[in-house]
Amino acid sequence: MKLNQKQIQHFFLRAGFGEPLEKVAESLGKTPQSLFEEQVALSKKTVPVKVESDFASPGELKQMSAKSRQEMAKAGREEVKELNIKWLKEMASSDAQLREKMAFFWHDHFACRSQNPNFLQGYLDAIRENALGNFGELLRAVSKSPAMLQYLNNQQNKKSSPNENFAREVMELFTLGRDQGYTENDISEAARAFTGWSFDKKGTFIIREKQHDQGVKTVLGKSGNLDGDDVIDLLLKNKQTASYISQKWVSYFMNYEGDKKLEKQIADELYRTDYNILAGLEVLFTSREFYHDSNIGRRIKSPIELIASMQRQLHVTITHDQSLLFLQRTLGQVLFNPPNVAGWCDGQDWVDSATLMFRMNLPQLVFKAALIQQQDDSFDDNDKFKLKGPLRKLETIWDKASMQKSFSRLKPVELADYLLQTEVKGITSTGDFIDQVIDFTSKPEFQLC
Amino acid sequence: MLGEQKNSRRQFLKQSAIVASGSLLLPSFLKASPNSNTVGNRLVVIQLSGGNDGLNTVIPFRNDILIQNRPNLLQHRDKLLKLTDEVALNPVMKGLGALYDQGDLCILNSVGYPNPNRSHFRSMDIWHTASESDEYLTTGWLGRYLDRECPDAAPVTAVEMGNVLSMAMKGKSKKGIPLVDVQQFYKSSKRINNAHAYEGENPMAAYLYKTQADVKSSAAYLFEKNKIYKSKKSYPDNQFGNQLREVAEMIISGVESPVYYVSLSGFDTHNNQQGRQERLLKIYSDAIKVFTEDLKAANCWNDTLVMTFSEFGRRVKENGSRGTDHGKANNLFLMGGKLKQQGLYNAMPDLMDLDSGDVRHKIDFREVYASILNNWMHVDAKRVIGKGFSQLDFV
Repeated sequence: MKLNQKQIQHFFLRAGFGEPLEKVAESLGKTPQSLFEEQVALSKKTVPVKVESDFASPGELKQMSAKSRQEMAKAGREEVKELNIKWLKEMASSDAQLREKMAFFWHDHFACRSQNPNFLQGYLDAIRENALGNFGELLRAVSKSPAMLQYLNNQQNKKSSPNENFAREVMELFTLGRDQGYTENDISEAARAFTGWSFDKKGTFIIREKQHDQGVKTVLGKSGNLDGDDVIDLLLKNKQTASYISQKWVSYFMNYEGDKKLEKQIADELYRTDYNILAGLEVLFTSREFYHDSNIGRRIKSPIELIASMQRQLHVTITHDQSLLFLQRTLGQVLFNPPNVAGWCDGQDWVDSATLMFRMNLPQLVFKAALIQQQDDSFDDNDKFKLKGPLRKLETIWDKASMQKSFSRLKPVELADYLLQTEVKGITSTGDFIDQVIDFTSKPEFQLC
Repeated sequence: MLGEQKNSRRQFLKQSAIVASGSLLLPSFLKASPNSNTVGNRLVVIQLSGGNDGLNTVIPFRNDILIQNRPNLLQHRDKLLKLTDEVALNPVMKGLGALYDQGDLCILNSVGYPNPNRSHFRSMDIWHTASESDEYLTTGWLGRYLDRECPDAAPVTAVEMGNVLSMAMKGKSKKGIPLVDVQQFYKSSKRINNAHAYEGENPMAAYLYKTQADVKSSAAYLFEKNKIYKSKKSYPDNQFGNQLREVAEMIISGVESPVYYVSLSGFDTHNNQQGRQERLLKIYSDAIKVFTEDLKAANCWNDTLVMTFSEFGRRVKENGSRGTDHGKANNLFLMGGKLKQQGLYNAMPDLMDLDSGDVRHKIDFREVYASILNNWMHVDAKRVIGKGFSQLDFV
């Protein structure tokens, strides 16, 4: 199968955050297989996304006065924001698109929040480094990260007073899926197996032997003195875990409704390869179904996808950190701040009256900011056009030369073909290419990929 | 070429400031008679975000346990606004005190839910979705009300003041409309320039076009309708005051929205609570007083019910930095001209019987929701909340 322009854009937007027109042009006529392999090669390495933090360890925090703790918390909040921005910038600029997109997916799958920047760093490293590796290792790394242990209250899960939160979410959200072949009793028993999973004063994973329940537990029909790793083994051995992951992939990367046949093929491959993530993704991204017309342009870009892909496709870079945070908040998706353990609601939920209006005005705002920054002082009525409100400091670098090279020779229809994944009837646009770019990106169809 | 010449840049900026608004056709519902309130009773929800310290709002000032646990936070008795021999309002809440005196206020104590969660986000989610504490729902209780009750042709669904729509107002098919103010909302809606209906076959694109058309028509409706009444009352000059003024103007102008949602945030008072909380309580109380007067003068108070809640109360014992930490059950206020019960609805929190240092819940907040839905909004609460709750008797 040789891919046409729409299909190539489709792959880039779904398996990454979109690509500039030149990259699309280079890839014309390639097969799904070669497109996928190229992305895998580009995503081999994990470029560090790091924030240097002096945040106190859990042990040190305990020793601090209330006042110092508050100051520490404040510094921590800033560092969490910094990590957020660095990662978002990486998504928008990295060549390792498949890795960043998958890490973003796993962030949703293993939804987690933490006020401790070091914990969050550990969690982010786990999902980025294992994003394309082995799902079992990813699951273990996340489950043992202090951020997740704290978020799901496993610190409170002790032999004398088990806390089931962690065990429940591991089954319900991370592996088997809600109401899929486990009972309330399985959760209680698994919680006993996870007792003692904790982190020490330095914030390193440990198993507190004294708090671990050494008794016999029965989880999913298997009995013994099970510990947390045993439960994870049992969950991975259960094919429902492969099915659940595959279902989530198909609805996230291909279409909201799913596709039973393809889901089964992916699940089979994931299970056969002992949860090799790339093997599973290859089945998805090289399938005929993925490239079918009815799956193109039918996904509402999530806010993060919109912010990152708009920059990649339009040769603009948003450099102002506060603005990047404001955009996430206003559009309704802030990295490291999912609404709850179940992650973000995808699809129509992204759009309400306010977010839709904001989304449709966004490309204009970004270009306007770029223009204002490029003006010379002789442009006398600057004030009149200044951006107002929280985005007044929106700073963007606009690579005008590249944009001109990319777009200026295109006919309106060709430009629309690049910017809009779903067909728009009667494309006419007067004005120069910038007017056209603004015109097309302000259409509802630009919200789709 | 844009960017090359001063004139074309200017042209562009001007254009992008206006972006061809086009002429708006007046939607047909505006041509109908302007003053018919077909909505009936309406609900105004006020959310105090951050976890308001209810024990320092409605204060059992003679309670020994409170006195012992709050050496720095408890107000001097002489200053308090006494409601009874045992109970007083925070001294800054003169406005609320007036409402109490007039029989327009009902205070519910110890409102919460089983297995309470002390995380702001989680607890707020639970209040918004009316879920169990270990259940994750993706729609809000008011959103589900809209799903059931709001006609497709309604000019507006429900209005939330602010940039971001709360989970409470998100339904499956219907969502509330968040707006900062009606003027601004109308102005930005005019910037949308794809007024035609969608003709393609992509269901997601169809959904976006429909949302966009709804925005345009709601904005036009609100803008036109809202011209009918402009308040002459002097609301406190702050964001919350302005938002309540907007809501009053919409209500009195006859905007057919069954629900309004307003938030006031900053109640997370872990340190130096007194000054911070009092500033907020004063903002709340002063604004609500003018709001009530406005509605009363326009004969709109009898079909309005105002509910004020916070995601949790705070620990009984103050902490080491003259503040309080996250707690559990809290008080909740109901206001309106048609209250069946006025004043204190139930006993003050039992501080002898605490749940790890926190107020234990006696009323499930979903009983409050259910009573509002059944007895005030006249819908089957069970269908909105998902299961039955016992009825309270305040409306």
